[in-house]
Amino acid sequence: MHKGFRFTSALEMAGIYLVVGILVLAGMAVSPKFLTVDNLLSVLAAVALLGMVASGMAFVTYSGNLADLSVPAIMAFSGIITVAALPAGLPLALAAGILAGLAIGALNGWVVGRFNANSILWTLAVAFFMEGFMRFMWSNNQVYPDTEPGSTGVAFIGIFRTRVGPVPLIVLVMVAMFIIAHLVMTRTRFGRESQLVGSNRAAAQTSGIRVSRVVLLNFLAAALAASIAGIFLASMNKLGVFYLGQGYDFRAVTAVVIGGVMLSGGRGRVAGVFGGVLVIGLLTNIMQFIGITSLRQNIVVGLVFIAVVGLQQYRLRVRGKDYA
Amino acid sequence: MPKRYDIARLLNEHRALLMLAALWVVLSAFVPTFLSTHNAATILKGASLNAIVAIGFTLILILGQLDLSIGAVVMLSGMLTIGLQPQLGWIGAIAVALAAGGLIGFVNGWLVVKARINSFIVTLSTMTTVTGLMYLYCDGGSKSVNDFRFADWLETPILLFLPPMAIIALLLVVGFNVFLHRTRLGRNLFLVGGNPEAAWLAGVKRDRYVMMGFVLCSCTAAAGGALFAASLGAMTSAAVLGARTLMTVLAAVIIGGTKMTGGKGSVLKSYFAVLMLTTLFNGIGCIGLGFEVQIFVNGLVLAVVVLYEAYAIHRHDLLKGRRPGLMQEAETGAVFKDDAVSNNMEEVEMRSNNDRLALVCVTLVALAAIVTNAVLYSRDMSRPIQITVSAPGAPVSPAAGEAMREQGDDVYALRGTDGQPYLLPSREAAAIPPRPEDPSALPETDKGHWWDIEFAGWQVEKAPMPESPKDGPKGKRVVLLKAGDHPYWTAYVRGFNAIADAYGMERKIFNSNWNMDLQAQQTDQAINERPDMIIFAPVDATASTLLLRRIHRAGIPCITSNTIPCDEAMKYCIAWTGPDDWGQFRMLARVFADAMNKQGGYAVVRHMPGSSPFFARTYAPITELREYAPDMKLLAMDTANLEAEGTMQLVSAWLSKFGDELKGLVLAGDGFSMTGTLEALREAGREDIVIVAAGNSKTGMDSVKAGEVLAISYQSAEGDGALAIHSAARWFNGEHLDPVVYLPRHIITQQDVDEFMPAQW
Repeated sequence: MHKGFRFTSALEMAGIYLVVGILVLAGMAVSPKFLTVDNLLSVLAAVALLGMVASGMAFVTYSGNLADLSVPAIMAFSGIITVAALPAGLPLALAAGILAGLAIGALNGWVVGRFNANSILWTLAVAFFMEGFMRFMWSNNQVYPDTEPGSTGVAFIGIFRTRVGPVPLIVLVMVAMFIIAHLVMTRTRFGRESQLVGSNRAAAQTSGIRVSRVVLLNFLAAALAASIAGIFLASMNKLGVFYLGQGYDFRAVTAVVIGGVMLSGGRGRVAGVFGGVLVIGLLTNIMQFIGITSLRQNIVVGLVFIAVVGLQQYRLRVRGKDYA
Repeated sequence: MPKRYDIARLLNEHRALLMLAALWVVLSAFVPTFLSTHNAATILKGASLNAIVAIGFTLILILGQLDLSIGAVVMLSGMLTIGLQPQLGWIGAIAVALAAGGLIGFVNGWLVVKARINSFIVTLSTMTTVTGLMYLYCDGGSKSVNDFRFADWLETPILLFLPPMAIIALLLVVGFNVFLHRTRLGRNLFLVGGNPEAAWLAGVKRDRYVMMGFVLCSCTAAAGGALFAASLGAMTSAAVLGARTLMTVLAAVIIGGTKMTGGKGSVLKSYFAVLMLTTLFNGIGCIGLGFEVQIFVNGLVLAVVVLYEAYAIHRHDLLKGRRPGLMQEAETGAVFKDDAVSNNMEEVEMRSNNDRLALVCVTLVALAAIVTNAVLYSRDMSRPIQITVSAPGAPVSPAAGEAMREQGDDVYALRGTDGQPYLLPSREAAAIPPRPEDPSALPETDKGHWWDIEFAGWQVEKAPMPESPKDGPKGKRVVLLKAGDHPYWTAYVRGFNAIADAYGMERKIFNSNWNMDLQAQQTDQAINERPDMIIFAPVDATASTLLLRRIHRAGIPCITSNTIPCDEAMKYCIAWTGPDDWGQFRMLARVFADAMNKQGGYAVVRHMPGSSPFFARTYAPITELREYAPDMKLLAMDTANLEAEGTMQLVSAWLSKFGDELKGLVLAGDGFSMTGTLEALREAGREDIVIVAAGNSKTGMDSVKAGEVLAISYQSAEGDGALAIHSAARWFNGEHLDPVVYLPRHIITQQDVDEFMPAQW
């Protein structure tokens, strides 16, 4: 029984990698320059930040809380705080940035977990007032690090630009975050509790799971991932400002859902989300190779998204596992 | 007798109306400019887009579904309305827009009902797809019509102070309210959303209702978009409009008391909530606080509402199943009785009591509102608006004139944070080539194709302009309607304030956050303030025509700034001041070509669609290079919305695709798009590529200094703001202004970059 479940769940995940495979073939057909190490690395680098955010967002969706719309605010806030705290030294600044992001995550998690507030609405409200707060505090300005040679600012800017051999650090961090997220979700008690909370919150409550704590941790995971991505984003842009990170909310949800995590909660795999991120990266890359402008890419992305998700749902329905 | 808990519940039931009333009372008491029929009309008119969209959104939430595509539908339908009006007339165009909305709703409904996909996912996908379709239709530009009669009719008061636009919104709200509560079809929506099992047992076909809900939701969104576009006589493709509409409507509907879980909601309450948010934005603007406060308060109100509702349910859940008596007490305020039936009866009676009380409250508020408005109306009518036009030809004493000129010289001596003067006295005369016969017949790669945009305003025949009072700028009240918040605009305001202070001018600043809807409201608000001058920085070059015309009709002199409006719009303003985007990029293109020995392939990273640099900073270099360096080949052009990550991905793909063929890049911005580009080049090890970009941010200047970038244009943000207010001051002095006043043109290279440090932003 248990084995059977694992097998089907692996099959579900294989679906998204089938799409990845098709896209790779399509890319090879489009251009001989597609399947080069450089190009594939650039695809990975391009979706690295999105992947980081999605690896955290997956926890929120998995536990049945749809999405965290305050992700852009978390990214911007952690970036600004890190840049502002740079005079205190790089490690301290990074810690401050992540703590700032976690603080928002804790607020989200506490409210949604404790009072079962609607997560979409609550995180939207948080995104609104955080935007106002950041605009007000920094008077709509960009915060720059000190870029004197040898200063912490230079080290901070270098974070995004670090490479390990030919591979950019951000790609490694993204992969590491996915592996950790995968292990946490499948191998820990917290992961199993998240699944139960996502499948049936009331049942989880009744069976003695501290739902509020589990939800809090889920939002903290999303906030942690978003803060790390936000710090990389600030490092890339060499500054912190209130609008960095805009659009990552819906983009990350797209990656999570296309990767097979059900919005109804309790179903899906982190490895699938990684596949979803790859699909988005490859699709954009191929369209750029063909020369489809970004104005029209929207149409293709929207259609591919609904087609893939529709197929997943259809397969579930055929097997009588229709939860949605 | 209602108990404490009942009153709390009653207050909560009508929270949107109460918040609205409270806001009106507070603002009327403390903000002198707030209470007038003009402002009331501004609010009612300004709320109409969101109000109409909120109707359908309320329906969809009642059904327990979600529709994220409304913002995109608003934009597509607005674009269709304007695009098809010349062929089909207003009725035909609006009908097509509504049909398109209905079709999108049908697709949404079909996917939710038949394919059984969660509506969040379905509409997330339609949101992206419909945005793409909108761009496909308009190609990232704006559309406009030449016939303003319909737009004029929409905003001319026909019933007391109410213009048709507000009345249409009101009628739709009332109509849908009746539909929801008084017809079987409407009431079944609540059943389907609130209790699907009961609906099924009652033989209500859920699927049909859900389908109907999605179609109605998209149709109302389309109606809102069509009406909005018609009221402007134009439509912008800047996606901010759609995104903000979605967010504001979502917030408003929830504040109005509609539940996301379905089965509960009211169109009327959503309307009150939309009005409340519009009033909030209006009032905060009246006080003179910025967008940051508006969005903050908006978030706070939403947070409190969400928290309160969650807490109420939480409290309910805590009591549930533990002590039924306590629960009953908490719910009804009644002491638990043994006789359940009588208890029920009592509850029913209490409910009807509540309803009666609510009705009385609502009637009282409505009556008060009507009376206040009637009083205001008669007061406003009896006191005609005073237009500040001084007696023509009032002589300026020579001494005063002398002092002014001296003051003016001081202004030229002022320097900005980059050490450059805010203003340069001499301006080179612009050489305007003759207009081609039919610019649109020429290909896009021909200079002539863009003539109307590049040289907008130079040869337009101005409508009669208000007379200058010729008494100098001191003490004049100026309203600045700025396009949005960005570090560039922070610097802009710095320059603006420096010159205004030097002249002793008063000013008030509104910020529309790149949202056309908000800018339309703020224009009305600015007119209501009756300032001596409005300085208008358009969100959209084309869609601002009617707004400028409105200002002109109110008899207020207006100078446009920063984004150059289209030819038609230039009729209604005294002058435009700002950067010569086209000229700068032509200069930049020549520097670019020289560095590349006039050969090799190049690509263009474009600005955001829906903005005017989207065209200027793409086609100025392309057309210039075609003539100046015909051997250079345009390989690709695309936008990444000025995001670093997106640009990095785009440029990386180009590098993979074109390889060594790609020798140069033209960037529409030297901020994030430059950062992304440089990253992509570094990863590919291509330091040989020549880059030029629009400037001049800190990022850009650092890159020029480091030798990573060949050249950027000098576009002083502080100078931009200073030039606008300085031109206003010159107008108050009675000086003649050219129709177009450019900032100085300059290209920054490694040789002179130090002169422009430190960067303004």
